[in-house]
Amino acid sequence: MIQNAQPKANPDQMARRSAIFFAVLLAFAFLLMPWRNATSGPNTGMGLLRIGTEYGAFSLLIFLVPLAALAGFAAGFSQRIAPHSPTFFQIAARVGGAAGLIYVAVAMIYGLQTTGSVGGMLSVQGMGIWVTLFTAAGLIGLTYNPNVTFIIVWIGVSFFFVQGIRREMTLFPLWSSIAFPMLTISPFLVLSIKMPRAAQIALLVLVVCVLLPMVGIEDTFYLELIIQISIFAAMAIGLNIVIGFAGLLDLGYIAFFAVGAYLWGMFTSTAADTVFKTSNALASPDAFWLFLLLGVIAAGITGVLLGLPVLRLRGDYLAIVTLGFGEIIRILVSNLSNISSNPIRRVNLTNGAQGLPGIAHPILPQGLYDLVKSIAAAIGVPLNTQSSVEAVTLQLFFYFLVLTVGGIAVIIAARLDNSPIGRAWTAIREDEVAAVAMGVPRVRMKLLAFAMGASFAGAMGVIFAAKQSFVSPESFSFIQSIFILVIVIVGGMGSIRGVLLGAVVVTLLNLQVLKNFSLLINSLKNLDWVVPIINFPIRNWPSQLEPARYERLVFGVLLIVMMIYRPEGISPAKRRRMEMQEAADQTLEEAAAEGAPRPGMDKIE
Amino acid sequence: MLLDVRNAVKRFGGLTAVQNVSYTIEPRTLNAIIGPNGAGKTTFFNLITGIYVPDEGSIEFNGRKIKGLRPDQINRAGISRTFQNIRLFGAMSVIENVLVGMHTQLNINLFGAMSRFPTFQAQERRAQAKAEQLLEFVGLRDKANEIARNLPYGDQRRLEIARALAGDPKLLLLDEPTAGMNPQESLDAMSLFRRVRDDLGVTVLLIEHDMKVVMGISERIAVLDYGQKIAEGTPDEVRRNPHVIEAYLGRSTESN
Ligand SMILES: Nc1ncnc2c1ncn2[C@@H]1O[C@H](COP(=O)(O)OP(=O)(O)O)[C@@H](O)[C@H]1O
Ligand SMILES: [Mg+2]
Repeated sequence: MIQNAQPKANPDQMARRSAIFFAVLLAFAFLLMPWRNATSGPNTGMGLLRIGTEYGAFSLLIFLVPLAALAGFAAGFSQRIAPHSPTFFQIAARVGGAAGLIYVAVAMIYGLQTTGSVGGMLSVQGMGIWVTLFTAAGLIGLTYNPNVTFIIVWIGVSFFFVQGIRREMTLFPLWSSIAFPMLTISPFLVLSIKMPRAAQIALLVLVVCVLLPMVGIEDTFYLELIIQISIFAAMAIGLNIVIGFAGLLDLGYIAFFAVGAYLWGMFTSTAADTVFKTSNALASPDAFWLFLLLGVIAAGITGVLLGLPVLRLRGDYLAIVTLGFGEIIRILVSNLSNISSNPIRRVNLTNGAQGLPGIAHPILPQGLYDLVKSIAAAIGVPLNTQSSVEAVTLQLFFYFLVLTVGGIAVIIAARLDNSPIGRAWTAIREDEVAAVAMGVPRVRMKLLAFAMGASFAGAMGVIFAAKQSFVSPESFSFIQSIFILVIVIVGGMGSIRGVLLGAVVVTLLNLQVLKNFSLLINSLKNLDWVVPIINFPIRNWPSQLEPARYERLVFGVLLIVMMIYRPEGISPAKRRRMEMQEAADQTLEEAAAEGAPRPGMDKIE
Repeated sequence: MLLDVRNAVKRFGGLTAVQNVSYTIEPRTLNAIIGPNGAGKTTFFNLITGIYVPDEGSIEFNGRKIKGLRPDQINRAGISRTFQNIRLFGAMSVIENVLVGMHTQLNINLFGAMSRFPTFQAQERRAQAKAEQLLEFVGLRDKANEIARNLPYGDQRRLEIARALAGDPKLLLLDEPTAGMNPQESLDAMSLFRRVRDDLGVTVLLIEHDMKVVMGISERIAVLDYGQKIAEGTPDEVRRNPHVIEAYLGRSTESN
């Protein structure tokens, strides 16, 4: 059983609150008792309760609910009469909690029998909400721990919402862009709310390895979103090493992603054949894992190559040169093609601006396909065609791959941060002169930061190319570098958790929320909806004003707002937060102290 | 001879900040450099620690030519320093500052840091323990986890010394280490400098304006004026030297 995570809070008080919450919830359930729905047809009513009514034995259990509700009520009520009888509250909360959990368990078993599959059962309308609420109530009652319960409610509600909404629904874009971000953010809530370690791990595994893949199998668009988030998150972790830890502003970071992507692309697409005079790709798709490693190495080396010439530069100058470097790589891949008559340019490595088509996917064992197929069937989303099995399996494979590689990146970044290397980076960022005077080799440490940061992007590049099976220079434009930079800034420079959170927020905003608002407007247009009160027919909404077209505007506004109200990011690193405060103090001091030396000027005293 | 500077010259454009200065230090001695503001004392420190390279002359440390080495190489060779304007890593904790100072003493290994092998963890524990000892030594043990920037002024000065000592230097350069301290803090600082030499066996060279401190603890004093060494000797010799009296009385004695 989960232990109480808040030693400071009074358990009796907790029990009392639990009992009251529980009572209110069950009373609500009581009002919607099955007899209200029993007479209606099979497809109406509140799922959990309705499934129960079809079985006589189960109806008995139903009486537990009003009983527990009464107990909870009594508990809450008697708080006034007998404020010093804590044991009573505890008993009430426990009885109620246990009843709620039993109720859920039995309903699920019967539901499974009725509908034949977990997915089927969960898709019964209303079922999800009730399962969540009752489970929550049960856990509150049993554990007295509102934190755990809050998280479970959050996860449950968002999961069942995502599950319950279908693409055909008019308001799908709206609900989906509320529920899905809620679900993807839940791991961060789990991490940031105090609770026992075991509960934390269990909930993380539940969300990341069960719920998100389930959602993804049902609708691969969600899977795609999570993969994109994870790719950007891992890259932001890498950029964070360069910018957040070592303080080197790199505006061409996407170039390293391109290095990884083109590495896999050039070797496994047939487009490189003109150079090498073979009709096949150079490398077999089996070499994927090797190439993942090569991508890391190649990008790391590129990072060092970029680092060497820019080491002496700081701040603005560094930013400009790295920006140029990013563009050089992009223009290079646009031009390494044989479209020109110029003999030198007859070297076709990248197929130029058209991009490399037909890049190989990695080869997965047959067993994996079968496994995914049977899992899909078990959760009630049977995959009927071979191609859909393949597509879903590949996506799931990439999902877990990206998670693993991203997880490794997070661990590496965290460990480096908390090591002599990370301390040296921070020291350089804080005061380069003092750092070198203390024996920190500036050049080596900066190159290491560039190489480490780049290598994460290289790995993601290989994965990206293998997943898309197509790469073109477009994916590596300047705006992509900015996108990753925005993730780091919005999330909180130097803070690993902040950067991950930033990746979720920014990527979802970009790929889901804004697009969904456009979708919503379109579907409302189809319905000829008229905005009430102002009587504005949505049909007249100009298509130029679609939210999806304004992503950069939205990012701009987001950045400005962040810089004004929370310059240290959503979830800042401890150190950064103080730096920001200091910077603010400094400008004040500077204004006060006339003739004070400007920071960054290199007079050493 | 631990340090041997010969005919060092450093020019900034038309200004010669250090002019033909020769200067030597014996091991395990307490030395001071004094001189009016702008005399070139800090610049001289910057020449020794490799932040500037002398335009002319040579610098040897412990029998090895160090002119032209990078600051981090010179630190590794055994010269560490503090700064006139305190240059701590303000956002890092007190103990982290000391740990950075230990950089040259640690085996910096990427794979060790990523894998956290037992050898790496043992090294981290040793470093931590040594840093705590050093903080104890300067009297900051109970502030180990505070943020450097939040320390009071005197503590920041002492932390800078602890950080400089963390690399096990043979020679410690202190640039106006008691500037801004009240008399009591100055007294404490004096005893700290002595302990650095007596307990740790580190040779000390300090730039100082507070004559009480200078005369009280240094065994040899050199005087710089307009970039030139105008006198050198024991405190008594320097006190009586007419050039020194002129340099100090001829202009404002108060220089800070
Ligand atoms: N980086 C520099 N560029 C130009 N002039 C400098 C620089 N550093 C020091 N100086 C000049 O050199 C002279 C000596 O300065 P400094 O060594 O700081 O004196 P002290 O430490 O004895 O007060 C001063 O005139 C100062 O302005
Ligand atoms: Mg000075």
